[in-house]
Amino acid sequence: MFSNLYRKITHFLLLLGVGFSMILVSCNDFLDVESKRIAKEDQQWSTLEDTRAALMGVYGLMRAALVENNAYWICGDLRGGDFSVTDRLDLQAVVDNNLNEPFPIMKEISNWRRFYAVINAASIFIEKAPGTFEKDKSYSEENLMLDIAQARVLRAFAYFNMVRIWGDVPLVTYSYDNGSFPRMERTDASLVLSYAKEELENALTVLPFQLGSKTSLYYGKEGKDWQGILLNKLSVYAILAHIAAWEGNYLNAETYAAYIMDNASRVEAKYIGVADLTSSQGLFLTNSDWRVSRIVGLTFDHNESEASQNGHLEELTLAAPLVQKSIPDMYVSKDSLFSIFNNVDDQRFGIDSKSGKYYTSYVHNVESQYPIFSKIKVIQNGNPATNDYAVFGSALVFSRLEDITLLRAEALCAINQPEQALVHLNTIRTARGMSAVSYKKDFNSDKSKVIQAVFEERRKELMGEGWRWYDRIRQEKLLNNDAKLRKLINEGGIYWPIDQDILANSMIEQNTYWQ
Amino acid sequence: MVITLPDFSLQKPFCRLLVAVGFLGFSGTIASQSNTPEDFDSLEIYEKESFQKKKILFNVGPRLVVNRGMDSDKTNDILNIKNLQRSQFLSIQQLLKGNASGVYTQENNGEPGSVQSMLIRGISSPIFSNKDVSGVQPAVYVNGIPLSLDHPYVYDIKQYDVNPIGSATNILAGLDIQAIESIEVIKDPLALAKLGPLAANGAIWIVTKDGYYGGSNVSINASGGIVFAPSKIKMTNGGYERAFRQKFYDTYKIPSEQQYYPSYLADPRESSYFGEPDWADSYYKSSPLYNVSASIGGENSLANYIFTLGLTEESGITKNVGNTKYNIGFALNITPLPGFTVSTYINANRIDRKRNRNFIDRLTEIEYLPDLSTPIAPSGGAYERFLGYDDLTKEENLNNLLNGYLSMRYIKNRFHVNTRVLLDYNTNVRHVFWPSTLMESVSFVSDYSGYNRRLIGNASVGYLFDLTSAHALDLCWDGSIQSDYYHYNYSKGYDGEDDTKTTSNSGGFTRIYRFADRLETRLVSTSFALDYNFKKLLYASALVRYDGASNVQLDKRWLFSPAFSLGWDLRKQFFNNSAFVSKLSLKASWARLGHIVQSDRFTLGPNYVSSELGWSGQSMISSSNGFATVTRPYSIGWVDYGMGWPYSDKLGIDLNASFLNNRVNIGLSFYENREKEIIVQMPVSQDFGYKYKFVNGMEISNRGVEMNVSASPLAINDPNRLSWDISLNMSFNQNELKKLPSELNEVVTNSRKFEVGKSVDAFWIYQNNGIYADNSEVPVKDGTPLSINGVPFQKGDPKWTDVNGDNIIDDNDRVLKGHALPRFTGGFTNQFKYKQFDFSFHCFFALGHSALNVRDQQRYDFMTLDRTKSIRSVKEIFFWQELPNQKDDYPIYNPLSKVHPYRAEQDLFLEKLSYLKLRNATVGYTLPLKGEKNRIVKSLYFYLTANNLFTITGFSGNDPELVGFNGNYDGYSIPIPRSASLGLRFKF
Repeated sequence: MFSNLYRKITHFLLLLGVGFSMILVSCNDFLDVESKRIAKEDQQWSTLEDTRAALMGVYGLMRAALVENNAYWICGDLRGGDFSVTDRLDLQAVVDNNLNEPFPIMKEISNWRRFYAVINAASIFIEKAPGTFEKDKSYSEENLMLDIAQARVLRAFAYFNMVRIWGDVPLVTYSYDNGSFPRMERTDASLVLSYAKEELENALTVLPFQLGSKTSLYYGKEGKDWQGILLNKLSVYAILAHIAAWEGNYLNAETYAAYIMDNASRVEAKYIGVADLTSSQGLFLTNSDWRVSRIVGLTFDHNESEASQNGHLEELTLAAPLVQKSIPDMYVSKDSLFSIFNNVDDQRFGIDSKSGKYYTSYVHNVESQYPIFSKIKVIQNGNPATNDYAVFGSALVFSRLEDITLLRAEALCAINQPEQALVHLNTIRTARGMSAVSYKKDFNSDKSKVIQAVFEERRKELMGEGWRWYDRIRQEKLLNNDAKLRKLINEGGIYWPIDQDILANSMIEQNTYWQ
Repeated sequence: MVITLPDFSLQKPFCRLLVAVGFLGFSGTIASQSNTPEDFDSLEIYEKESFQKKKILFNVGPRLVVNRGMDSDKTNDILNIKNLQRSQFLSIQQLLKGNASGVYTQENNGEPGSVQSMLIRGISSPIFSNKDVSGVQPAVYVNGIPLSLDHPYVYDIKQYDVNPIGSATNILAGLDIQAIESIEVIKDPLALAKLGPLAANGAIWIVTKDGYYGGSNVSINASGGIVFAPSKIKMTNGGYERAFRQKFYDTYKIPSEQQYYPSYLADPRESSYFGEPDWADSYYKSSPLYNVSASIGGENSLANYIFTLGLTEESGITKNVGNTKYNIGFALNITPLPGFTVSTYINANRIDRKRNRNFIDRLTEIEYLPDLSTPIAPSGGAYERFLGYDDLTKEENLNNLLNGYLSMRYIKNRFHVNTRVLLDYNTNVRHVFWPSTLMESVSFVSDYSGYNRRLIGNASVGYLFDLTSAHALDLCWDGSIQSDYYHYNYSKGYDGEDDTKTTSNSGGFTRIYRFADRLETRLVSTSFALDYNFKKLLYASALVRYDGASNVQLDKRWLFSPAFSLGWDLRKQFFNNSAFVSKLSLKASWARLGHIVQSDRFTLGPNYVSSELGWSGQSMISSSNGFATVTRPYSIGWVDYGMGWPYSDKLGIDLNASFLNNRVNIGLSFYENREKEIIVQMPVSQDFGYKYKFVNGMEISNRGVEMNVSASPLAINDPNRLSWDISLNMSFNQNELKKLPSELNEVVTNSRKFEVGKSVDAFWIYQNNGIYADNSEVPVKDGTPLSINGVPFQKGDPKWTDVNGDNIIDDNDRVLKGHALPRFTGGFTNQFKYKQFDFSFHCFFALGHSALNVRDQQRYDFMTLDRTKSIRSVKEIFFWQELPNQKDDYPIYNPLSKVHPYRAEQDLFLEKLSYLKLRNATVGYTLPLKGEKNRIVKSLYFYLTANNLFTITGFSGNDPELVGFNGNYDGYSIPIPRSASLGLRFKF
């Protein structure tokens, strides 16, 4: 009886076994589903479009790293700067240098991960793009070299920004793209900067003034289309000049600045009048004709859906009637305005001799309790049908010719050529409607007064462009006349605290000032 | 008493095999579910049991019944659906709430049709955001079709974790409740293993009515009622708020120039803020609800069919909130040849939902923050005016659900083979236009159109052996392939030209953003099951399965998992002829079961995405310089090679007993589910751009006890005497983190802390011990006072315990405390019948959990909230409301303090949530009808039912259920309504 049963069972099992194995074989292929939302490693680096997407990705991450929470302006303009805060406690804490107060934006700004995303993406690009060159014939060696050079510049620029914000930061020069995530220590800021300089100098040998030409298009566009959009040779010099100035190496800073001024015409960068500077169709509009004058900048093109509500000075400074907001988050108070802009001829904020009223180029509603700082006001594409929908299409401008000219003046003072410096200071002064000044008459041949004047000019010219805090530090290093700031410099209080999430890595210590 | 071991001779080779494999057994196939609901209202007639008893294998309507299992355990986990069908519940979650042991449902919103969740035997993975909730949901099977719910990828492009894009409707609120014949909760490990990885979080097994049970008849069920707006709303105004804030300034003698009042509170002459508040009558509203459903069925020996129709309308208690659903269903079984059955079932539903008008829901959908500094005014008809602006709103929120199957089965003697094709297709459409009058002259339009499609092919074949008269063995092989496809198109536009152009295609919008996403996952499963019994005394089962999933990396994609079970009929063994013990059995079951990986992110190893270019507060940018981009998934997390299946090891032990001819039933279950290799985001050193990396390796255990007791203390089966049925279910569940990846003992990820040995639903908070009444009270160590982030504590600051004694308050001083999920849950039903009348009521309770009262935290933290920019500073109209139990005895801290005294993460705001609710009471009357035969109306039954009658709780918020998955009570949810309705059922 059992044998019969066993046979039955055996047959049954055999049948099942066959069915089972057949299913497995055929089903393994069935399970290969290609994701439509995520690109895998071997898909990514095969064509020219892939490298373009990856390079633009590095630019995009750089943009996000700088502007998240409006950090570029909060760190550069608000902290220790000329702006006052209306209601917001978190912004007030920045003004007061209480960067350890428990607000969400403090925590987010204190976290440097956003810059390391740029660095990692750039490193991956530098390591992997050569593979594409081997795969895609239309991806030329020249194109590859230009791409890698830009990745290097962006990586170096990220390091410079981090050194300005935190001082010593871990120096990571390789992507570690293997999931190992080793724990890094902070590297001395000077070493980080010398790495950045090396990288920038390396890129200088590759990057031209114009990316692509009529005969040899770069990613489908000729040189002038990329001006003010992607980084070029002069952008690298501008970053180098600022690193040199930050390090106090003014000899180099002067050389770099001079090079930029001498070659500005090669990228068509020009000095810009106040009207075009502050027009919503002017320098700051991503796609304006003036974009060529942005020597280092990052774009937010409204027409490409890249305009944003957050990530612009305008979010903090604009209010009614320019946008639908009752009061601005921060403003330059009347007292500050009058004390900073102490020359009535100043077209930025002086009295218009025709109307007898204050110019409105920098400031709207000067009579009201909260004057609106409206130097930058690119709503949507700068020419919106209505101002209701307040997304901003203004580019982030790190450097323009006026900045470089004043930086050169600063450097010339530092290397003891104050009279030379005044030539450049006067370039800016006269462009803004003021008279030229002379070393003897106006400064009593006192170099430190010239330095003071150069920084005052930077203060006025670059207000709202993320420079004031760093300018003050350089100024103090040159002049040593502000005890409070000097103390901060000595104690490391000029840096931001490091976020708790980063300190989870026990190799990294909090900045001593914030311990 | 002599215990005789069964004649389980190991000499027989086959038995040796059984023991060697080590499998232990129990009941028949899942498909054997055939318990008929209780026939208390004499509307449905079930007479098929006798037929069932005769055969061991047969077709019942669409169902295959193998009548050899140890089927006694099932009764505990089957809902008394006939009772529940009277009570106006809309969703499966609501039906299950408090009615089945081991299932925990919390309705955290009283908005009809909004997304709800449930848990069977605890959480299987930690929940950080709404996105993770779907990963712990049980599978819901309707006539064997596992319903495809919305995929959490709809949260990927959301900036705020409030609602998903699309209709945000609970798909399980779309089913026709009146068409349901039975609902069973499947928790047994081996039974879940038979269902496969979809059921790794437990399963809800729903069977709808078919012609076989319905017989030849027409039945109609209609009810109508009303949801009652809350009465006695205590409205407040600017004067109340100003007085509240003044208290803080007075306590600390803050000079008037430093007393901050936002502009709307600055001027007490402003009548819209300081006048008599009048918003409640415009906001709350009593509304009707109704349900009409009908079925018509027919049956003969060759075929049976049923056709069902339903229409249900439910309203919330705020104006214009509601949910309408339309149901149509058809089931047909044909037996053209002896033993050969063709079955088909098609069910179509449509849900049309009207959503709330809260600002937070609107702003988080728009993702554009207007000036939030001035809230809507409580007085002077401001809310009524707002509703007037809202009239231009165009909103459509639709879900269409279609599911069905076609199956063919052949049975010959002891052989059965079955093939099925199952389909579940549902669409999700939302169109909304918000006019410019609602937000700073910026209008908004969005269109969402998405669908989920699940297609399953399934085949099974089995044979029932009788080895000798004592040994019976059932073999069954089952194989299935499944393909799930999810797709959506979404566009949103801002700032239209004028408010007459209300579609995204009508043009005139300043900017339109377009999104699309699609995702496909596939699953291949095969399993082989053995069910053995010895003299119906000992039962042993084993199952092995092999599952392949497309969402797992190629080399780890196949998972082999076994399951075993052993059952012992103790009554037969020890009390075979006892009149007292009518049933006594013991069963143990163990299974390993893979968890479905929802995301396709882990399939590829290291990968690239295009979603990284945004930043906090700006999620929509994906291009740079006008070009598409790819980057590594820095903010999402690094994915490495070698990631595999998460899986669950489940152990369950059940003891079931019945006494006195089944008048008293007791069921006890013990379980431990070990969820292993859970994929979790682990923090990494941040110097490579990544926030996290994903790794397998977290392990969570859920242990618990469940008890079901039912008894009929009074007479049974005598309609002239009072009868009383009690049923009680109670569950205890406790989770514990067993393991973290890389043998870590603790980790902080996504602002949550996990510690091995502690529970995963704990709050991570500071311990608050009151207030420093004076600077001298602040502890000083080595000359420096206690500080937080370098800010020293002062008079008027909170006392937070310095746990590690380093004189610095930081994250190391936050402790894991309390539980967001209840330890004890349960329900209690009493039912009385006397002659033609019946009366029943249902209570349910949840004990031992807590919530962070974020509503109170925000009230007290006005200083920070008013003076930072955040979505949390949005104030709804019900900001102007004082809750009846509102707690107002928090310490008054210095509002100007730099330590952020009223931060949410402290036990000051942690409140016990334990509650008991009388959820439903129903009175019914069956009309006596004369003339048993040939009458047209077969039965007629009236009932009056009321829901949500009262709550007993110490919680200070408006309802202890309105708490988010993370244990935060923010007071934003629409209250769960109280309702009453009158209904009738008749059949002819």
